[in-house]
Amino acid sequence: MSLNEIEVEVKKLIDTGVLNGKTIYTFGANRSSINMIRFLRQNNIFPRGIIDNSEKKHGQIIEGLEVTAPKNTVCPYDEDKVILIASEYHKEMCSQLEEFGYKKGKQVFVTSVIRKFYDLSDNIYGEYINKLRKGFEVYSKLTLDEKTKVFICPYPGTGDIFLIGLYLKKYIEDNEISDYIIVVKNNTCKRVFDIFEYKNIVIVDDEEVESLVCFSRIMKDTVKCRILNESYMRIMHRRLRGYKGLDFNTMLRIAVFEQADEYVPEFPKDKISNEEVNEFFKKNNLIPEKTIILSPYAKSVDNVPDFVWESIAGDLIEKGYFVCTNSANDKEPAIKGTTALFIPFKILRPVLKRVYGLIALRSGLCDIVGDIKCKKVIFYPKGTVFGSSTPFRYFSLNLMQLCDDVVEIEYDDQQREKMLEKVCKVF
Amino acid sequence: MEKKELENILNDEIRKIDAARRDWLEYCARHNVDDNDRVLLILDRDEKYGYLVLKHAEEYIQKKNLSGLHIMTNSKEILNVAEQYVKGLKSKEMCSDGHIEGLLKLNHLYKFTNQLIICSLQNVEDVDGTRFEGVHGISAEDLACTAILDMPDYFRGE
Repeated sequence: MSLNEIEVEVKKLIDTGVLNGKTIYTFGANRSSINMIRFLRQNNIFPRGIIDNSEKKHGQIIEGLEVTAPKNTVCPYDEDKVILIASEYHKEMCSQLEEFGYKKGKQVFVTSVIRKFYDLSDNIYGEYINKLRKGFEVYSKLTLDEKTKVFICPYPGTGDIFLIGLYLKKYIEDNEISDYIIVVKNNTCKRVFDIFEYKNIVIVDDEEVESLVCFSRIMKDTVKCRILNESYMRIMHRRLRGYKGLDFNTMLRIAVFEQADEYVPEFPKDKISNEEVNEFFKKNNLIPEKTIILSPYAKSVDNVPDFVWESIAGDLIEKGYFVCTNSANDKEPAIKGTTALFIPFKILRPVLKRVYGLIALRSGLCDIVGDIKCKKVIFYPKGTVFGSSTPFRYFSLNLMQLCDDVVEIEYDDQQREKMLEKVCKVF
Repeated sequence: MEKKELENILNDEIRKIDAARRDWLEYCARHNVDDNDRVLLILDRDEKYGYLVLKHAEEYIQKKNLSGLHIMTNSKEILNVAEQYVKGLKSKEMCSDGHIEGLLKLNHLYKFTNQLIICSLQNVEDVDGTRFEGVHGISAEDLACTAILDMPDYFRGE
């Protein structure tokens, strides 16, 4: 499996041995920190905590680690402490740590600079002009037909793609679009659109998608493109996420499809044959109505600790259920006592219709199966912030009105026993 | 459309963006816009949001610990009343529609500076942000203070 940019840089640090025997902190309670922490743990290195300058974040638990203020955690200077940074504010962070006595390259390491904005220098400006030209080439290869609408999906989250799929058909009809191309970043996105049987899906790489976004923005009066994301790349209304209860679904309907209430979700028809589903159950020794699927992995929210999943699995097995862990690859091992199960997207919904239940950490998978009538429990991280709200308020399937029968729980380690009881009551 | 024709249109757009970049750098030098200043770009086609931003301008300076504000506009009316809203306004300048469109394009290509505040939500980015008006009780004032000024905890009056 290929490593992303941050993982490559962290791997270099691991290989050089600079992290050996050190107390490691990540700077910035952000997605990049979570990626670093997960990657370090996979390599048997266990960070001590996360530091962040935002008072709002202090005391939050992310990936089981407490978020604290730099001055309370890495000050006074301690040569055995190492701080990893993957943030657009790396320069400011490095300066702050240097004031405490830490040195970049010795105890402070920047694994990703990210920021390519707020900068009008020849380098960065030139990069964007080059992107425009590259976007022109990408667009020209896709189409030069003025009637063809190009839908661009710059964010590859499976949940995002599924929700887009719920409304895109109606948008195409309402706007009398006869020809279209959907541009996605990877095969996973394509497979999600395939559930709806959308046509003309083209996969291009990350750089090509970003270039196409730039091109479409500058050429919006000339070419027919539409960016299918609720608030891509620092646009102003992104600040409305969670504001006054605005949820993800509403943001998407207004920002992407320019509709608030008129658009109702059109769920896919699931045309997979019974034979195919039977075959899947047989091949994996699944007993319909007795199978419960655990889905403990998510890219966008903090994980619930393994021992919690193990406890849930143990209880369910004791009650006579057959428990599987939804596992796409070796980075997602089966929870102890359960069987790893890989369910391709095209068969996911039909399989869920036949099993007894699903217990999941909030991920894109939850969007895909939210309307399926089986017993469902979804965990959301508690105490973290998303926009002006929380992951629960912003992504709750019930609040988004994509279903009304999910038991949704904000996971709080302090209230673990109560939550496990709640799960038990469902099954 | 022929590829060459599309490329020519793109080249025209790039020339406009290049000019906007030069204009912006000159503007900042002319008015001594420092890192902690903000430039409010108010469009005559969206004066409603311009006025809402002006109404909260003093609060914005305080909450964001800014050194001061500048105003760039193509609206004579806004230019005339600016000081009534912002005491100690650092500068104000009338600019052409072309100049503004260039800046909007450059800003849409990428956020090249945190000093420029576009005081409009109408078709300055991918979508018309004013569509959020009325949704979940969101008012135009909410939009101006949250989406434009990034100040969701703005003062709502007694």
